[in-house]
Amino acid sequence: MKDYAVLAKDHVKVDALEKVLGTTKFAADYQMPGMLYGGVFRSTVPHAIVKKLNLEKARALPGVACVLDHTAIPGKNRFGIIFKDEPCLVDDKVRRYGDAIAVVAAETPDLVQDALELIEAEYEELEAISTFERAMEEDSPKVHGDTNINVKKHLEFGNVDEAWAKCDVIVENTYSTHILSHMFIEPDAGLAYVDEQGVMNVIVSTQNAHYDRNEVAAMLGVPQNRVRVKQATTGGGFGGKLDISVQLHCALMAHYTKRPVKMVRSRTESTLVSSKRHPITMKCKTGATKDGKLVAVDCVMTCDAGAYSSYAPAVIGRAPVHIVGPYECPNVRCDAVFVYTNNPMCGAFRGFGVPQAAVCHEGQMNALARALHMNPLEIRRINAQKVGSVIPTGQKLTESVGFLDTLAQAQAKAAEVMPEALARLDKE
Amino acid sequence: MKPFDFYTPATVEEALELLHTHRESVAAVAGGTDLVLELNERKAAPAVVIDLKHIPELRYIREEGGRFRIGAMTTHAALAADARIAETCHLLHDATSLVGSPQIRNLGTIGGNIAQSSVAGDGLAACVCLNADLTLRSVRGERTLNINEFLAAEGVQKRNGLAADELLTEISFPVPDTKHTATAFYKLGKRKALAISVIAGCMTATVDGSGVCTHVSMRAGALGRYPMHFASCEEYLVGKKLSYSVMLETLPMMHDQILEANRSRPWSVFYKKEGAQGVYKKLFADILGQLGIEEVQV
Amino acid sequence: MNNITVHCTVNHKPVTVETAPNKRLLDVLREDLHLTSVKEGCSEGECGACTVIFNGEPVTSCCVLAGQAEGADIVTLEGISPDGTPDAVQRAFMESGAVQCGFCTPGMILTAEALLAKNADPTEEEVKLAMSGNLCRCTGYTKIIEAVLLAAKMRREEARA
Repeated sequence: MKDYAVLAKDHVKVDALEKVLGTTKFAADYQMPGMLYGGVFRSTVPHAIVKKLNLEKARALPGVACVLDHTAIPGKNRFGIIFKDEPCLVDDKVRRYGDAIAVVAAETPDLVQDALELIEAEYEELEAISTFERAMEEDSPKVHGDTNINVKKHLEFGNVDEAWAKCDVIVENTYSTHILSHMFIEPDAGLAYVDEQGVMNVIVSTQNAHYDRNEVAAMLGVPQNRVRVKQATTGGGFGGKLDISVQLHCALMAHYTKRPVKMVRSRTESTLVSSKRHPITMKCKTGATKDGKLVAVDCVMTCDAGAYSSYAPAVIGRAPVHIVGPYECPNVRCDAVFVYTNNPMCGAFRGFGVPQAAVCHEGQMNALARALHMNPLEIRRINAQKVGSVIPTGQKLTESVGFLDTLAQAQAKAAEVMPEALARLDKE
Repeated sequence: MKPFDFYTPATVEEALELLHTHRESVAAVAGGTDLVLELNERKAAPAVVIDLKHIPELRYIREEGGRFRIGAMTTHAALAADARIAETCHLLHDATSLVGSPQIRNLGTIGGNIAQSSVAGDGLAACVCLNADLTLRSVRGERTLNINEFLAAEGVQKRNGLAADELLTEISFPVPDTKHTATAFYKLGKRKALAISVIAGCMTATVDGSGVCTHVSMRAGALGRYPMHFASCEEYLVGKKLSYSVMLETLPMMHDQILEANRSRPWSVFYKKEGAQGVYKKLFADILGQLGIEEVQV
Repeated sequence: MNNITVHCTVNHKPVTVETAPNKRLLDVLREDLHLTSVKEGCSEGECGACTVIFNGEPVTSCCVLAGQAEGADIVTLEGISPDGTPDAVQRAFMESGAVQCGFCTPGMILTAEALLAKNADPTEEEVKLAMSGNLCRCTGYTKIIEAVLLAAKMRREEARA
């Protein structure tokens, strides 16, 4: 291999020294003179209209600087990375357990808790949608607008319907993956303040500073050059810190109080409202010749994507194109439907739907191997994508297809550390 | 946290006076691994908190008159490190070695674990299996209560008989005679470390010179509100010559008992009735090995 | 509610803090003493990010009330290398690539320091057991275990030199 300056060499990370000394500042470590602490009053029901909201008792508590609901928002009250469907503070209705209804800023974190306990909300509850099936029924209540379909995708490559005739074996299975929390070790936190030039500054634990800036500016109704977002050193994200967390609430309260406002989510609050991995159900039919060569894959993907769209349009783009995995297949069809429900919001999570698809295509490869009495490694080798392969998007792979090498190395390692398991593959 | 006044007594007498004075709304904090979290989440909001950390007379492990006497403020780490307990009582040694994490074991105490009476308290389950006696003190005097009576009673809280002005000061149980008695603990958790018990299996067994079982105790934590008592299994084994196959014969009874007791929680019973049998197979093998009766690979 | 006065040793210096009793040791260290290397990750003694060395033992400072620290000897990461020169454990974490996002790092290093103070030559199993109360979500455990073993080796070599 060519000698590179960085590649394949040991290097100490540029920020390692301050991290081992403990001097690195994460968002919750920032302090400013006159700083207030912020907290959020959240819904305790998944789907409801807020009939009454009493903020007066909280406002009257000494030490409370502001208690705000959606009427205080100067600009837009809808945000979202792709579709702007999530409110900064609930206006028309609550769409999930934990939706933000009001925000509080006070002199101490304990006072914030005291004030939150004084807020009273009265709900008119609506039927909560908690499954894909109910979301799709005609008479179901709609989470947004007049349909619960969030996004749909159709992928068609070759001719699947004609291909079944060429198959010697067909396996059909349904796979379901579960919802999953990133559980980044640093709970979401941030600090907002207005500087001497009147610019709104937000220091925040985030993966998406440029996007945060757009949303803060839109919510405040100011041009983007009146907002500056600085990413604090971020304690893990894995996709879970791509969405808005405390940015808008901090900025709104700093805008009103003209004082710095810091918000630090508890682990409970962070887990409750941060995005999750999309749980996808994949009903998949796969056909092959008696030699183990893939002929056709037909898959229907359904997903309960939760109350807001977040990265669903990106995930639904990725999962179907990966439905055959790293294998060659001349005929592929995938229909995917992601729906809105009143469950937690799903978003970006390491792989954007590709890991979910892997559960399906690897399960199908094993099922084919069993049906054909083939070694599962062998059937993967036979079908492996390589330079020159055409994938279901129609793209021809022209370089850097490392699957066969990877498989060979994995097999060698398995022979070293788990020889019994490897030997068992031959028997089955 | 809600506001409270905080006291740091240096002796048990001082602590008892404080508990008596503030008995209307008071909490004693031992290791803090439960109470401090409840305070922080505002699930507990006593007017007064009394710290027990600075009372040295509550921290001891003694062997006296054939009994282990353990001060309530002895940490899990101290119990796990005690050589005599490691040698004579695998059950308590293993239970305290596996509580939480190293950090939690350095803070959490056996007295706190029992007074808290958490569903998944490993120390609690072990002490119930060992049929421990508890010493409770207040300005009104001192009483000794068997741990089963303690759990059955209702005190300031529903979970046990501790009165508002009382302090659990000592836990005691007979030192097992390792020639004839074996004790064992096996924890089923979701991870190797830092796991709350899904099932905390505890067992003691005593045999006579010919290997016939004269006494047996089978209790498991996290299967119900209190450590579950497998009385029918115990009854079946007493009077029989212990062997792995005889012990396995108790498993269907265990299965039925767990199923019956957890009918209202079908999602957990489905797993637990199977898991408990696996746990007890491990315990049987351990007990038989310790008694030198049979070597079983489980 | 009456304030309390806590006398303790923090990072090798005697400290007297007057504070509200309804605070955790974690809050006193971060807010009153500005020792922000102590991190709050879960607030329930699970993640180990708030670990400090308390009378020689690692404990989670989210489970300790302010007043319970009376008379205690407490070390945070700031006390390991006050002049900014990393010690063996800190160098080993850098060199082994055991630092990713860095949020778990202070707790990891303190737990490792407490282990090595008692056991200069731990086995890999002993390291794993000692570090089992500190979670890393970037999943750098392999590197972290390597770093602790490397630190032990570096310390032993330093002691011989």
